[in-house]
Amino acid sequence: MTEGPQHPSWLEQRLGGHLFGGFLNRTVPDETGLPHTLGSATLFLLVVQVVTGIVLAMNYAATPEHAYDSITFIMAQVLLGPVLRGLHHWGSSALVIVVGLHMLRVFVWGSYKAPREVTWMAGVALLLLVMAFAFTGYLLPWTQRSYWATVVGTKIVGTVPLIGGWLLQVVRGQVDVGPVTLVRFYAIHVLLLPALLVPLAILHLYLVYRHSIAPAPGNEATVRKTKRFYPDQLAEDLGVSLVIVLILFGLTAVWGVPTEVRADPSSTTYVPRPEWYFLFFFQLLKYFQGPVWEPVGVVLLPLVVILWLFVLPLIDRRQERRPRRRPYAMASAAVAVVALAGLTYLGSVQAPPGTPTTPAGSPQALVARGHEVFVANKCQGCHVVKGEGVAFGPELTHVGSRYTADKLAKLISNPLSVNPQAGMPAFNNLSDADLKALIAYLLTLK
Amino acid sequence: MTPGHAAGAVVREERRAFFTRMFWGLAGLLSALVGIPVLGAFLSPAFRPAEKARWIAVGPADTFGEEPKLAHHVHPSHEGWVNVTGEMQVWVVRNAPGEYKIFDNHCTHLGCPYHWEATEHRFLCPCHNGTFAANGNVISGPPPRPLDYFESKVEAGTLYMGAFHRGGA
Repeated sequence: MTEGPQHPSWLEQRLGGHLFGGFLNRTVPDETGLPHTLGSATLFLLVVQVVTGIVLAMNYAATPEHAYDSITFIMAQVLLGPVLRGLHHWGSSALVIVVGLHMLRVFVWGSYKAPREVTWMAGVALLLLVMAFAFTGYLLPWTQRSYWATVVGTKIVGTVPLIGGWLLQVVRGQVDVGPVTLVRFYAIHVLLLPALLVPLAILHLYLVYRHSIAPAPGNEATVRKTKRFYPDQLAEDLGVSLVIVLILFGLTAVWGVPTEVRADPSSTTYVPRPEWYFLFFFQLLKYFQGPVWEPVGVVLLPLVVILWLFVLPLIDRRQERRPRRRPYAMASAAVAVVALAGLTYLGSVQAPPGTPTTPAGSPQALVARGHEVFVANKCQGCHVVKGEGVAFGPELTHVGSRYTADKLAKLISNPLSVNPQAGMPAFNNLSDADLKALIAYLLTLK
Repeated sequence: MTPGHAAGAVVREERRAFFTRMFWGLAGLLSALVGIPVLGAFLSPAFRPAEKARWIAVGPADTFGEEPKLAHHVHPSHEGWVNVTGEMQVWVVRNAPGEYKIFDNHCTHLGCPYHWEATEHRFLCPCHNGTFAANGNVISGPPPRPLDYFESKVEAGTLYMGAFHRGGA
């Protein structure tokens, strides 16, 4: 791209105007910098979620019978499947963080003020959409954790006075969280929410372009120095996106996607716990109990906060944007940040009511841990247990009645020592405790 | 234009060129980082090794003769993340030396199911009138190769089918 008047290209002659020209070849205030990259980082993360989500959806079955197996298939059989899923998993958390920081930056700078009120309102709607994406996507792997987090999360809706029961059924699609809920959440996650997201994101971007980036607070009246959006600011934006995507790769490489056992609706010992970004709400509900206060915490408070966020630019109409001259706004932002961080912290350290009934070290706990090891090492990628898994190696449904613990230990850590023809790789990287747990689990298969 | 202005313009130009290179470099890097796992997973089916064939019982060997016969049997298979136990049909012929040929029941032209015409002593595919002999060779019509078949073996009087092979291979 060169400066100066340009001849319209072939495509521009046909479509009219300059393709993205107005958006790219604009100037932004010279002070636009690192804090302003959060918006484009959000857009980048959304793109990552969309493209990884599309290919994940190609290998996913939204039924309780097959959802978990299809995820196992992605992790074991799809080329780069674990990377794909890792990016999507960690990307959702990154999105929540980046969106939150973006919003905080806009608030502190007072950039929501005239003429950018609608930009802010569209942004609040986008924030709610991101949270809805996070909530509906969480159920899809159909693990114990995702199942029970959804049971609790949807149950909150049921505490709404008068219409709670009815609302609960609308959200779940049936009385309990089950097959109808799973398809419903899937359809909302991949059809409804993207359909709402795209036009809102386009509106948000258009408004950012239309009103330009807000100058630094207090700098509105002065003669402004500007810089080009393309390539100067965009290069900085992409630099930040690169750092974020490298962090996602790092998290995927170091932690992967936490493995979990298949959802068991009949479980009585599992302690539900939401994902970290909903922990604050989970914790908040501990302080609102009883017929009067529960609806206040569950319905009234969130509604008031969301409504307040929406109408904020209509209420706060002073043109003053300098943080120092807006003590109440800054105080409320500080209270909100401290409250969110504090509740999240408390939620993460306080054991939820009803800690596991299986005491650590008990035989049941050992077997449960063994099943987790079995799942985490993708044993079902080659072995069938009770009709589930891939029949590549020997079936293990009755393995407990065929082998002793010692023999199993050898078979797992060094298969060739038992059977010179064994095609199974040696799982000699398991800790002694994990190996013991795995054997305890296998011995229950009789 | 003063020399100072000219120098400023040069600096601006260099700065712009630097940011342009940086933008496109970063854009390419980001596209590759995200694009490779996405494309890899999308193209994954092309790289997946074929499932190891297992021997599956078709039926008692003595029920098949030199006249091709459609055999129905229960055929367990594993597709993606699903264990499927469906019914499968194959054409079975025993040739003169007593070897069993097990044909996949889809025409090698466009995959239509074909049938045996006893009077004409040939397989006929009704879609485009492709015809095959009892040994699977093409007699006439558009099919590009002989019928696809499965490996066969007889154990304890039971006929088993194994790995799939393309016709003519």
